[in-house]
Amino acid sequence: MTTTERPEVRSRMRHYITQRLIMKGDSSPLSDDDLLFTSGRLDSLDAVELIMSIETDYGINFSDIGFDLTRLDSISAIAGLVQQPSAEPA
Amino acid sequence: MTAHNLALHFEEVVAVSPDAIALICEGESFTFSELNGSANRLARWLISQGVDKGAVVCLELPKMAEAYALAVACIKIGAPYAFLDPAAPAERARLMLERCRPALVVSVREGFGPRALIGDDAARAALQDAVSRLDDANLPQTALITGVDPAYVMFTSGSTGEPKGVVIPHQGVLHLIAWAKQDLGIGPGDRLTNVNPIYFDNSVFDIYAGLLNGAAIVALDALKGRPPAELVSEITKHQCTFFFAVPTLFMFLDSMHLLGPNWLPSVSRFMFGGEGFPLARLRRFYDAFAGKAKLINCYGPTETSCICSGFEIVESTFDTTDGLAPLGKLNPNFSYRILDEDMKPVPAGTAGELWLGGPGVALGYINNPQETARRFRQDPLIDGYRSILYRSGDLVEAEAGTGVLRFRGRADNQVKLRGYRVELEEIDHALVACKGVTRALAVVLHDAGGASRLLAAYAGAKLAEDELRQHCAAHLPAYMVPSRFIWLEDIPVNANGKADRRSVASLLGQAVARAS
Repeated sequence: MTTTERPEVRSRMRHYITQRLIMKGDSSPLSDDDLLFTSGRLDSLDAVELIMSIETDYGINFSDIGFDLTRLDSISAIAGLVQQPSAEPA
Repeated sequence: MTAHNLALHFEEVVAVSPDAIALICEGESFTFSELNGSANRLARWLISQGVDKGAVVCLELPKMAEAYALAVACIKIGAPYAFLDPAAPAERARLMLERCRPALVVSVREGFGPRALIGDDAARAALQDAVSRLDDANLPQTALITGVDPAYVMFTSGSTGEPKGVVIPHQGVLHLIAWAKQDLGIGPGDRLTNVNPIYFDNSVFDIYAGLLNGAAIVALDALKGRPPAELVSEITKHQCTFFFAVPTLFMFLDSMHLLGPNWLPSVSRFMFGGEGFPLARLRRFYDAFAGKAKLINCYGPTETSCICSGFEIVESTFDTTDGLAPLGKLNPNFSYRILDEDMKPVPAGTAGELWLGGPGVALGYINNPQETARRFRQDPLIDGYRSILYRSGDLVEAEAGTGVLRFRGRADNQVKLRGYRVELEEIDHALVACKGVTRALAVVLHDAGGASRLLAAYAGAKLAEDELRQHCAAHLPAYMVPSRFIWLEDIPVNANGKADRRSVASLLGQAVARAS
């Protein structure tokens, strides 16, 4: 089964992450494939917030994905994961 | 060791092992003798700047070698020091400085109060030059400092809307050091990480349990926009044997596949505290290091000299439906009572509020008699002489027979966010100070995995979320800035007419889900 990506999901995610980076004083350019956690631009504080934000905003249970942040390591990765058929809210 | 204050205890360690490494910071190593000499010179410099026994010195510094040496210098004079976050919003820094009424602020930035600036290389070099001409011998007046004299001030969130400074006596830290030696086996040959921020309570353990037991401390920054793999590599490069941090950091390293004996082979003991560690996540940590390193859960409000109980994680720890690791048994020299709202002991096996006593308990809050009187009270079961207990606000239950304490929630609106203690009322106050906001209430939502998210509801004029976020960021540290701000027609109240945080949390949970 394939899923057509909803562009608004990606742009909302980009806005959300850019805002968090600005709050941390990081206004360097950010492309959709830049690594967020591996690079250190987002940290442990951001990780909890990001997962909870996705859970509440999209009604998805991400508790298992919290064990593996490398799957949320870029805007593209997050947008893809949020829109996986298995991740859609019931 | 028989020293009656921290400074003499440190000097005894220096005499035993002058050439052992005491501190590794900014790529440089300092022996005990070098750190002691530097602290003695800085103590004489502080005296020349008007600092005397009992005066407060604020150290608004990042992890630089001078920060550690100045802390030791202060304890040698008997001048309590307060580490302040050099990145804190200016308004919050001013509130803390006003409470301290410092004789001197040593800082990397301009601001309130009489200050010595060491913000750039030239200023640092000038201080080093001035100090280098001073005598590096121990100070004779150090012997006059008693165990009940204040050693340091540690700021924590306050429910009245401003942070409060906890004053800890020398004897409180001496007991912490003894516990670290006896129960955790810390001694010469050990290397402790100091990943915890120095203006955060957990760093008291790193610095004193390390240095005063003859171990080295390695200053490291966890949150500086660096790849997490770098932090792990540094811990291994410096052969650290003891790693203490908040559960959030360990869970993060686990999520990045960096928490395992192949990444951290030198660490033989991991300790975590400051917030609960969800057992599901702890299980992964425990399994990863099974037989290779000990895991210790510790507990202690700032008012109990950093830590008042510890619990080693073992296989049977997971045979519980609690969801969180136990707090453990209280360390020697702490006494406790579990009381109900009427300050009467609760029946065995039921939860009540934990009140803590003994020499490890704080002297009170600096220049804040109202808050001190509210939290430090005469033991209700003792009549006729002074016996002070600190009211922790933590609801606990004591396990019959073992005395192991289990956490059962809070009696007030204090929450733990990434290990930081946050009074939600402090956020409410900051929001109401924003023009147009008439009432505000901060709440925390929890997910099934134990993670938490800070949100805020407000009433009054409808404002842009970015505006509210910027306002909060100007008044509160980053971890206290809510991630979402939701406008409500009015803030719901309970039967007593008080703002109802529980129903607001429920409303906000629905609101953010609907907004997507």
